[in-house]
Amino acid sequence: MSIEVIKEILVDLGIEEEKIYASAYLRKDLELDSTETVEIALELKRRFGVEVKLESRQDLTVAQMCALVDQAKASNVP
Amino acid sequence: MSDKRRVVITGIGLVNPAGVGLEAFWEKVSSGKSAIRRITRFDPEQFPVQVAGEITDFRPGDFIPRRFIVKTDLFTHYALAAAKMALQDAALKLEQEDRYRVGVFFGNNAGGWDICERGFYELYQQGPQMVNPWQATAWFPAAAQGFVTICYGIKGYSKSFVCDRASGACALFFGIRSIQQGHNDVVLTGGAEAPITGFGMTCYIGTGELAPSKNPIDAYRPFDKNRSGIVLGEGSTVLILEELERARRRGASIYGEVLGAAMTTDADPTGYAGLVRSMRQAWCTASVEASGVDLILAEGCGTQLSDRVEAYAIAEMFGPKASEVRVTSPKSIYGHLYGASGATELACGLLAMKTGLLPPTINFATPDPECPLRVVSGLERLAISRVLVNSRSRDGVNVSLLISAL
Repeated sequence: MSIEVIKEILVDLGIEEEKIYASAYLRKDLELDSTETVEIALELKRRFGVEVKLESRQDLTVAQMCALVDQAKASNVP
Repeated sequence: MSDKRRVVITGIGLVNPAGVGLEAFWEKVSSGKSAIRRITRFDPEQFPVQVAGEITDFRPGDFIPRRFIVKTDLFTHYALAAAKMALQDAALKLEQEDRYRVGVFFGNNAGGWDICERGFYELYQQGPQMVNPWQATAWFPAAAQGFVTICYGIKGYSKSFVCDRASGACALFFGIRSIQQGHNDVVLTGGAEAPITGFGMTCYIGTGELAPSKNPIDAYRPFDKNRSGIVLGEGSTVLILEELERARRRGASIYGEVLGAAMTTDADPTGYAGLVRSMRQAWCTASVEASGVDLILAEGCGTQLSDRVEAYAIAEMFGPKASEVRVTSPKSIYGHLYGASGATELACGLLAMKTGLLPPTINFATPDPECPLRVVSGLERLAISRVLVNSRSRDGVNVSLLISAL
């Protein structure tokens, strides 16, 4: 999945677009708090019907999150 | 004067049905133009109450970063916007202040009904796992204080107050005290309210205290013989309080001084000994002659009982001179703001002292023999320098604030 979809979700949350790039970390760089991370997971479920765990202790980059969404979509296919 | 640290007001921020911003608000209030209208936020057709002081020209993006808008309810949007305007009005840059000496004291009665309605929909239509993550942090009444605190990095002694119609006035009382007692040097105080949703209105209608009105023209009639109850409003008022000497040192423009502040409880809607006592205590702490008040901004909430009881209290407090003291309730213009009440009327008092225009009580057509007060019912110009503000909850929590021009 391209990062454009993730970018759209992050911009909706009020994150400045120019800060969002593939290697940006969600917490370290974008300074997302726990509620914003939960909202991203909810939005991915609303849009793609996928469950992606973002609340883990490890900080993820935007690209890593895209990969997780792709994985989840693939495992959703019957 | 007592040896307490003196407290002055140096900034006013308003988001109100009568106008967003000080100038728009005062233009409408001082000219007695009603801001009560038929509700448009939801379809009120099925409701026994169809009017409110509704804000229609507020754009949160003009005042608040999107990241804050997304995770907060409308009442917090109002508070963040009013706080920003108040700080600008006071020319106060908090990043240059010791923010351990800055506090936030806000009132809110109803919490965030807008986000609750969304949360209920998500829960019952989509399931518990789909409820938005801000439900818990956005709905509760301390959210306005919390987000203003976060937004400005404020770290001083701060509190939120839930006390029915006196929510905002309680916040003022304790905010003033926090400076007098040396906990803070600067306080952002006032409050916010946004009850105009289907669910919010339903809860207020349940109190039996709202005017059952479908016609906005004369729905809100405090002190009138035919008054029929409260008309709800929404919005936020934030005042900047400062310790007098530091305000002078920084060359702040000062609206007025809080001479006295008192809080009492009657614990009975029909009792008024406590209200008399709170007015007296406001004077005692200030040691000013009782005859010296130019205007009373009354609770004047427009219920038969509360207005009558307040009139009795004023009669007892001022004796033979009670019928000479001007009394007004500009709530008749913009509605009762609960959490933002108290601060809004205090702002009216300050602006009346500044401009010489008295905020009228509109729709006052038939005097009530049970309320023999000198109600300011028309446009009146008068140089005034001392104002008493009353606030009273349904069950009799009273706050009286005495303010004066410096």
